[in-house]
Amino acid sequence: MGLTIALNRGRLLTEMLPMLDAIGMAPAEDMSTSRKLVFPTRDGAHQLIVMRGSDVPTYVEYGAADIGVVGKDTLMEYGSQAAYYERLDLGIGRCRLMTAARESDIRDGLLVNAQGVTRVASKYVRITRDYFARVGRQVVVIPLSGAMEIAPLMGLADCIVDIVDTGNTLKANGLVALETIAEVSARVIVNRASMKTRFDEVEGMIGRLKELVVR
Amino acid sequence: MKRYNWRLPEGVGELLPPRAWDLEMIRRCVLDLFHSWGFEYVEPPIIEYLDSLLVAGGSDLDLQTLKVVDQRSGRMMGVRADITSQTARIDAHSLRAGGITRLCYAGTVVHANPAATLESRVPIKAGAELFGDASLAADAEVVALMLESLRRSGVETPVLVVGHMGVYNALVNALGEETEFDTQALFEAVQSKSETDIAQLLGDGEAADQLVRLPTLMGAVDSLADTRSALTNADALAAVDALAELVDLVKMRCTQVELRYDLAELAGYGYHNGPVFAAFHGDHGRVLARGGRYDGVGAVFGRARPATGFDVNLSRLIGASTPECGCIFAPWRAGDGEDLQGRIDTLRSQGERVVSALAAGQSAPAGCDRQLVLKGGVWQVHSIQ
Repeated sequence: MGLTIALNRGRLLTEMLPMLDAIGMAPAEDMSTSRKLVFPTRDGAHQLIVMRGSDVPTYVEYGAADIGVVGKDTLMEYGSQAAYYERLDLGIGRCRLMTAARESDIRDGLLVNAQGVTRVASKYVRITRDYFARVGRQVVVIPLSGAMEIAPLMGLADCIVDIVDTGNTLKANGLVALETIAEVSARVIVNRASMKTRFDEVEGMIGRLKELVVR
Repeated sequence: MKRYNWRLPEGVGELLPPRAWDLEMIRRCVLDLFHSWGFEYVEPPIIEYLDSLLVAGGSDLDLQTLKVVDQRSGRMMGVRADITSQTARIDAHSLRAGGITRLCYAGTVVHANPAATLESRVPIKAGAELFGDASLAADAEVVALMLESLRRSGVETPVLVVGHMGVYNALVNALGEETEFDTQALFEAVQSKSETDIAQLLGDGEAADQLVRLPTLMGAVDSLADTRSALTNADALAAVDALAELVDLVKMRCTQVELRYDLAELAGYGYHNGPVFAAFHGDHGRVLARGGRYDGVGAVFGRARPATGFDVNLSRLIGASTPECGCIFAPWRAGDGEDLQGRIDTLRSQGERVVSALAAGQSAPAGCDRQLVLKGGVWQVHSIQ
């Protein structure tokens, strides 16, 4: 069997498919209409598996997949960097990890209602904790699993940490982006043992992807 | 009320039959090998005062060490997360022998935080350390022993990856005072081969560019010489030359191994400072054994000595060797014929495992694939259908 490649379903997958096609690793059937989760490539040499982004690093770390494609935000939240190799920045799926708060709570680019401990709502619990520790602010992290924008509106949190693409969702909910925590883009990660024991196959694929990125 | 007192802490497992015997057999086999290579066995304590446990490593080892307060002295003690640093103390302080000292050990270490989610917090390690010789021949000796211990444990044709901490250290030193960066973040970025992150951390500059390229400097050892064109730093080049020399020495001694290099392979707990090496195998998703040179670690105990060594994670080797065959069942002593106990003793002395029945009419327990049957006045071994 060739390589097993874990892909993040959703928008990133849509952007990834033309790249897979260009390096000759397109799936044998249409991923958007099939309900399958495991797809052989057209030449049958490799297999593609589709999952939630947060599961991609897990599959790659334990060698259930040799290679994974996932956003940097997910990798930062996953932690334990040395668990896999991060071989390539694909330059797709670009966005920013930012803090955001209600427009009315901001004066001169700073949060005003933060008395003592700031309440921060996010699905990125680890990133939020690390970021505020780094900038030296005491916070309580409120873990949510989605639609963070509601939290400040309902008075659950003083600000949120989320990925910002166009900023339209924030705007529509009366929120303003404040600080950039990190620039995010899709990364190719590789299992540490696969990198050593299947070097030629893995580096071959990385090399072909790299050519696309440079172009 | 339902009781949960049978539960083990997260990341803590126990070995049950037949895996526990598998592990013990591997441990014996590896220790016998160390014995035959002239290494002396040491049994360092599981707990020590924290300040002697943590001398060698950086913050990694500190985070991995489980801490308890010694109720007798009030001092902080640590449960060992690594045995190498203990042997460095033994060599520098307890033994104080001149010349070359060869030490080996096997035992459980405890990790306060599992290195990865599915990883055991109580891995069982065996290792060998060689003190007092700064030559590459010493590194080659240790590599050869590491590969042999894997082979004896059933791992044929492993992939050996070699690197040299000198390359990374030289490039970081060349960054100079003016470049400000987070050392830990850089170390992690290089280890995870993230060129993007390294570039973001360091910005522009000759040394920075070489560090960005460092993760790509890997491949089959035949192409090791090619990496010279990617490096300009004299110290880094000297490290590459040393590595090439080590590769030649290893090639001469070990044939059943695929040799690769990876200049961004930075070993373990931050005390390594010379050639480093790690063994992988296609059937195992994780590193099986690793080691490297850590000269001068004993200085804090009064004696800086050249040192190199490795440890192998025995728990990961379970199942790699061929399983032994089952037991022979001996029925309850009854009737005439040849002395049954004598036959049992003979079989046991020949290395067979014999389970005796404890009462008449008992049948063979699970794990027995043969039994003793009295035929024509002689106790014969027959397979159980």
